[in-house]
Amino acid sequence: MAKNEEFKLEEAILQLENIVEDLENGDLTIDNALDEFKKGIKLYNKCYKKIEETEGEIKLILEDQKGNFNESNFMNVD
Amino acid sequence: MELKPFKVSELNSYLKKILEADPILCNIKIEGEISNFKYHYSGHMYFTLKDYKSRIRCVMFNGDNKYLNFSLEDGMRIIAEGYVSIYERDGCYQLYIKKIKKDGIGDLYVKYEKLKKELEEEGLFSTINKKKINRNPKKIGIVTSSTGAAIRDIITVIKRRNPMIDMLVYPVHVQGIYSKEEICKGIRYFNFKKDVDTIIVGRGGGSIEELWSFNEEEVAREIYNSKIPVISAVGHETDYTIADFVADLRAPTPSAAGELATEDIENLKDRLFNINILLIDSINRIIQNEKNILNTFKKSRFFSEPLYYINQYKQRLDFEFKKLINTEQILINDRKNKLKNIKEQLNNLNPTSILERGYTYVENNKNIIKSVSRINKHDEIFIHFKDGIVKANVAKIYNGEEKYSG
Repeated sequence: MAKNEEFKLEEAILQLENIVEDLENGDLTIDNALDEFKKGIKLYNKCYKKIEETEGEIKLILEDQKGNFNESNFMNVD
Repeated sequence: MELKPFKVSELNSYLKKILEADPILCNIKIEGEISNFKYHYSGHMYFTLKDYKSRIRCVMFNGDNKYLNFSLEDGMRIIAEGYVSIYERDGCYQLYIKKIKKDGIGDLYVKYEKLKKELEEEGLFSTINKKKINRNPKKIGIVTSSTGAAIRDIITVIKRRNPMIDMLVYPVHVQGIYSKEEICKGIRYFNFKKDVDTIIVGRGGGSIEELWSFNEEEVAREIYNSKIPVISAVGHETDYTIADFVADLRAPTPSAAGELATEDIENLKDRLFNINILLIDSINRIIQNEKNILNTFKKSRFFSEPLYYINQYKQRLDFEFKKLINTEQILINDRKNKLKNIKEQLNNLNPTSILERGYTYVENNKNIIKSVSRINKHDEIFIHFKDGIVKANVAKIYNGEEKYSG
């Protein structure tokens, strides 16, 4: 996974679901609701970007003669 | 006497005669497992029979194999009946099979069943020990051959389902003498590094011997001891290895392991998309709600018929005003009456009105004289009548009950 940021998608989605729940409960004032909504949309866009742009890495573990393990790119896939 | 050199074909032909004349070899039963099975278009069948350390080439001609009431396949354990001879062209001996019986349990199966029973009794297969697979892993560790079809299948499926996932391949031999030790080492490596969410251990299809590493006790225990959830992915759907029983999840094939280890990214996208819809819906509802409240205000009489309220106030004002006026009038009348009364009272008290009735009063130097004690003989006094005043000198004073004589 790209290491530019430590953004946890699963956590972000859970957070999003909490925001939706808060909004649906209807206990918020309109100002708070709008703040939450803005936060939600920002998170949504972040998640979406993350899903669209992240490309996983495939590495191969190799043990050298000294018993050290190294990871190199795995090339076996079409 | 020295023999002249044989030709190759002569040697093969000679050996063939010897073999075919042997009383044992000419009618023999062999048990083993089928591998490299080929059904030639000519109708003949070619394959290898093997056990855990040896193999022999076999042929079953179409004239014989047409009586088979089941189909042969790799991995099948059979008891073959036929004769051993030489295929002269290639100089290789092979088993010419006439009849085949299926063999249920061979040596390896006995070993397999025994270990399975032991480990099962020990609780290694117990479902309560199975760890849950995180279907949205960041990274998956794979212990398998780096060159087989299995690794390609696993990577292809995972990449298709969720391209975000990192994969780490620990290459091992999946069969042969180094295999079980390497597989164990791979599982230990991932447990030591602790950077993968799931470990997939497996290989593609093969005979029971080829899959045997996954029936080894050491591998089973290593899987059981793994703190990271392990998915086993050994061979085909029909192959059940000990590793499959002890793993947290059994995948019928390596491709299936890729599926079971991951959630389709489309699900995640759907989930996200639904959240987006819910977000927008709920904020719209909240805004609509506020609007409705505003509209209720707007529609209320206060805003739609402001004159109504003004008139109400006007009416009330009128009413109050009238009340005020009335009250005022009453007050004024009251005062008037009071004044009249006072006036009458005053009137009654007015000395002149007494004079009207024939009384008089006496004064001296503007002082009303109410008692004889205040007068002395010869004082000058004024007697007031209703129509005038008499100035008089006091001639005599009679006190109280004193007899008065004119």
